[in-house]
Amino acid sequence: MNLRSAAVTVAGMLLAAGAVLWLFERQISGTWFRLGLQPEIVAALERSMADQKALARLDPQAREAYHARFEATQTLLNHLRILQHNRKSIARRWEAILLAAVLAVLAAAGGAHLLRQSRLDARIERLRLALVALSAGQEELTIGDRGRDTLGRIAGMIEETSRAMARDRKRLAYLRNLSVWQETARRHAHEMRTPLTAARLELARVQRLLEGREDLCDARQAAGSVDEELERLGRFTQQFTSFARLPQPRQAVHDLAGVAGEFVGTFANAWSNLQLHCEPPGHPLPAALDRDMLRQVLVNLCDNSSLALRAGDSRGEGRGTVTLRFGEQGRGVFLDVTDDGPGIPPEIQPRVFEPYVTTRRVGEGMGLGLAISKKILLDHGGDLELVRSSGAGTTFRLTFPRHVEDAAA
Amino acid sequence: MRAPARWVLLLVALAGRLEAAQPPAAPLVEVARDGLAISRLPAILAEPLVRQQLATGLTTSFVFTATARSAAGIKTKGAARVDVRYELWDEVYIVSRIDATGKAARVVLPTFERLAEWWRDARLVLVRPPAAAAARLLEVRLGVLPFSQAEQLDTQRWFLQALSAEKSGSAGAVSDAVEDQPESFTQLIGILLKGSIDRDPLLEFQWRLALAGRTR
Repeated sequence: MNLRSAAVTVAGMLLAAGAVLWLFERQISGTWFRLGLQPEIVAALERSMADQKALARLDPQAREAYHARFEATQTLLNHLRILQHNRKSIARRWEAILLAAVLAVLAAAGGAHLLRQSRLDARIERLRLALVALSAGQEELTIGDRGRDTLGRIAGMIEETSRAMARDRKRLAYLRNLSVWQETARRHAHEMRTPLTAARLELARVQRLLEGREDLCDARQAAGSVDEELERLGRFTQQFTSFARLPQPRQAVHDLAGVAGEFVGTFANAWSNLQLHCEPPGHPLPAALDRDMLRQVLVNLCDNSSLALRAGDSRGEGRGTVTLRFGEQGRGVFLDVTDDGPGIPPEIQPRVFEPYVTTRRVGEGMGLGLAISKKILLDHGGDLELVRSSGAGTTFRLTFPRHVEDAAA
Repeated sequence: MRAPARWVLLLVALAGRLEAAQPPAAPLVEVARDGLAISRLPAILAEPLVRQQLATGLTTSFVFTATARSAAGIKTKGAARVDVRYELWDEVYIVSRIDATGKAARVVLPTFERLAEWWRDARLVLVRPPAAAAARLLEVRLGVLPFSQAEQLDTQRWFLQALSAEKSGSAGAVSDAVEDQPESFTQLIGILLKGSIDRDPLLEFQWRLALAGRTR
């Protein structure tokens, strides 16, 4: 606290209190006192007593009544005279009471001010420390100031900023990691594509030479097998290429629930072991999104669910339901995709969005689907998160920033 | 008028004022069998302030307090009091006196002159034996109180009631409940204020009297 300004404030308060005290004492209580002890009042009472005596002499039969009035008047007169005698000491005591009251009020006000100021200083210090921590890169700050005043709002903003910074850091780290993997995939695809093309051309020549040669039936079959393997290798190369060259989303404002509903309608029979179910929210959830990319993400998730259900069944016929639910959270809208499959193993869950992480056997999948899906959501300004996964099922949450008309304008 | 003459007149006037400010003559002190007694009380009844106070009808108290010192330096205290109240209805002076012997007396005097005579002839024992016999020096103080303690208490009650917001009845009626149960801030203020109603002396005098003779 600035001592100089505090001293000026206190001096001002004392001056004002002194002025009020003087005004009150001189102009109000002083006037009242002078009025009550006016010499004219004393003289009038004395005349009244003289009159009572005179009347008693004139009317002896009513002497007792006049005497009683005389006594009452004299009592009152005595009181006034005694007050008059103590006028200065009463005034001094009255001034002391007023002064004590003013000082008590000032002390209470000063104490309250100091208390408030010390609390304010403590809150400001907490904000300062939080800002220092924020600048040092500390994430998920909790200041714990829930005041509704300016400082409380600033504390809330700092906490929100720290959370946003934490999200951005995670997003940035993920994207940086993903870009490394994308570059690796691009190089692999590039390196594989040329020899693969040459091998396919040579194989086609060999197959042409083997046409009509019944004696080389085994060689023809072997060439066919090689062709199938090259085809599979080509698909993998294509997946590498797709992963390496993910396009940027072409966003337009759509109702998230509407797009998801269309997906359910279109892909209702796409997976023989899946039943798609949509629970629309009852009101539009506008978001800027790329319909095709959202569909790609939903296809990826449903593919994973379908395969997981099959893998979880000994006969490979596991059936289940995928449910789409919607909601709003903060400044975003979300779509929860929940299946009732066997869930993701706990050891995999923390790395589930990393490229090439998969529960499938080698050769059955590259583990790029979730990485691509998360990249798509991040490119939308949203996110893809694993909400929960257990033996009862798995839920992924797709979050998009809510579209606001004014903000868009 | 020349300057020296002006100075002489000024000095004379100042001397006259000093004379007027002199305390009245000290009372006569005597060592008697019933103790140290004073008589020929100082002629203060004629003082304008006292005369005016006597006429108000309030009880004027003349309180004598004495400190006797022996040759060994032992102090013994004593006191006496004379209350004078002018009865305005009957126009008589009611005088009550009590001294160190514990004897109280009350007389009614019809005029101020008779009161002055009584005052002049009054004899008040201030210090009881045996300290009286050993006393060598007597300090006498006289305080003229403007009203009695009963009148003071009565006025305090009346004042408190007059300030009370819950006041009922006439201003002269006094309720003990008002004093015993302060129920409001106003009453608290009244209680604080009523303590300032005190019996400050109108006049005070002091004499130091040697028992061999008389000194001021």
